Amino acid sequence: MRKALLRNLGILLLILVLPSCELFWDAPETPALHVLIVALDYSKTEQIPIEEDLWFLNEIPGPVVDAHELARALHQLGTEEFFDQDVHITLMTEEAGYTPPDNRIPSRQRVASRLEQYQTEVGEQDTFLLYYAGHGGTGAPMILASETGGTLGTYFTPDEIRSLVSEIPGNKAMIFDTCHSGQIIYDYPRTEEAASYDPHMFIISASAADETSQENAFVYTGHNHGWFSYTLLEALGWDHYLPGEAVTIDGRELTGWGNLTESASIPTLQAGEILLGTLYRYITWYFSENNGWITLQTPHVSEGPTDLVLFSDRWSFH
Amino acid sequence: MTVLPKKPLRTLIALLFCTSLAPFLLPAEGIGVQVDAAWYGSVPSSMHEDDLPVRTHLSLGGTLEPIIVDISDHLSISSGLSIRYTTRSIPYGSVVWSPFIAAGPSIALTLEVTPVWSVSTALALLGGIYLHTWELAPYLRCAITPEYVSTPQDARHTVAVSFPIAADLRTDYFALSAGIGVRWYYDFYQESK
Repeated sequence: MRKALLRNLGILLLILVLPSCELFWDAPETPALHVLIVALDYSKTEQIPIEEDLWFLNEIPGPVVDAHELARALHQLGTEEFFDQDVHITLMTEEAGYTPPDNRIPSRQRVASRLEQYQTEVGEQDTFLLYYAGHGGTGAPMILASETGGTLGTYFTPDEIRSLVSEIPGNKAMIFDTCHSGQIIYDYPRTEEAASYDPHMFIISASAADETSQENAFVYTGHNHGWFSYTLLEALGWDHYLPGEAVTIDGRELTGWGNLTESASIPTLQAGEILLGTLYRYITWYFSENNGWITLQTPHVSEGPTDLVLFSDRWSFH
Repeated sequence: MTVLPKKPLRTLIALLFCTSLAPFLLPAEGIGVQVDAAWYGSVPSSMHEDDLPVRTHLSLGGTLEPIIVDISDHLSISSGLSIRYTTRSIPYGSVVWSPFIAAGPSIALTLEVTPVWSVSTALALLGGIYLHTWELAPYLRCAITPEYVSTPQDARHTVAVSFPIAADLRTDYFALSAGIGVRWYYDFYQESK
């Protein structure tokens, strides 16, 4: 009887373990990473009308540097030297001394149009990432350029931007380095009743809804960054002190400071993967350990039991 | 952005907490420690729109039982502290289910079925924390554990091989786990019986 009981318990354990679907189901196709990077230094856009107020926008040099370096880092992570993944990057920037093509001007209408194009470009198995660096205000987390080349800016509300990104197939990530960016994160519902919840949307914000996001001149690196993006780049293994190599991204040659060295120096690389949640955890750890800045600016992340894999050595093409 | 549980769950939490304290009011007749390793399957609900019906993790944990009280010759009640670590799910696609740690009070009722087999049923209220967000997610763990006693009955020290099967109930999804472990318990009065 004892043997029979042990055998039956063994069979029961086996039955429970066998549904480990990951081991038996066909692996999904290798996902491509589609990235839209939007950044403004407000060298042209000077004012923004929000509701009945007219806000003046000071020029900030950090976002464009953040955008260029993030684009180069993501591009480099997609190369054979690192993850050998398919990474497609679109850059929409307003920056002093550069005139973008008409479809790369970061205005409300053009950004919306580009996001709508992603609805057909991104596959169900792919990942889409929207990164925005620039000014943000309450009710206006993305303050964008004028449609007509003027100085009066345009903006998206949190609902508008979430809605546009939600329409894109596959998994979506948004990373916002802007003041009051916590307003784009919605509560995880914890029940099945919440119709507005998008389980394929993952968000990191640089600050809470009622906080500003700090920008500073990083004298020791020789160039400007937002605090949050500076740390985000470090989380990806970016060495700010190294001179960069010129790369062509979205038809533009980008150069500047910073470079990746090797996979072993990526602090968020765990078990061959870089996850969005791991980036967030590194950033919050860095803020609290290095600057105590977390007391003034608190990055937030969308909650829930799931996390998004951005890069994985499982997905190598070759 | 921590969400408080709803009122019925809060009542259950309070009840379980009070119940877990009950054995402390009685004279303890033993103490115990149980550790286990388990297959852990998160079952996504429809709102997660997951590619898989079950996400597989490894779960490691145990329970410290500072108080064990014999109710009869074959029945005992114990209360203690359960602690668990659950790894992130096995990679599949570009979504993984996050690792978490959990700890909380537990109460167990153990019935001795034969001299070598016993069955324990346990309830634990665990405060889970997802390690990528540090978000608190409380849940109720219901477990049934057959135990095979591998040491002589008249010893004060008893070691049993346990086969815990548990269901973790959350407001947004549930999980099942099955594993194998070891339970050691020490009976203060075994020799005088």
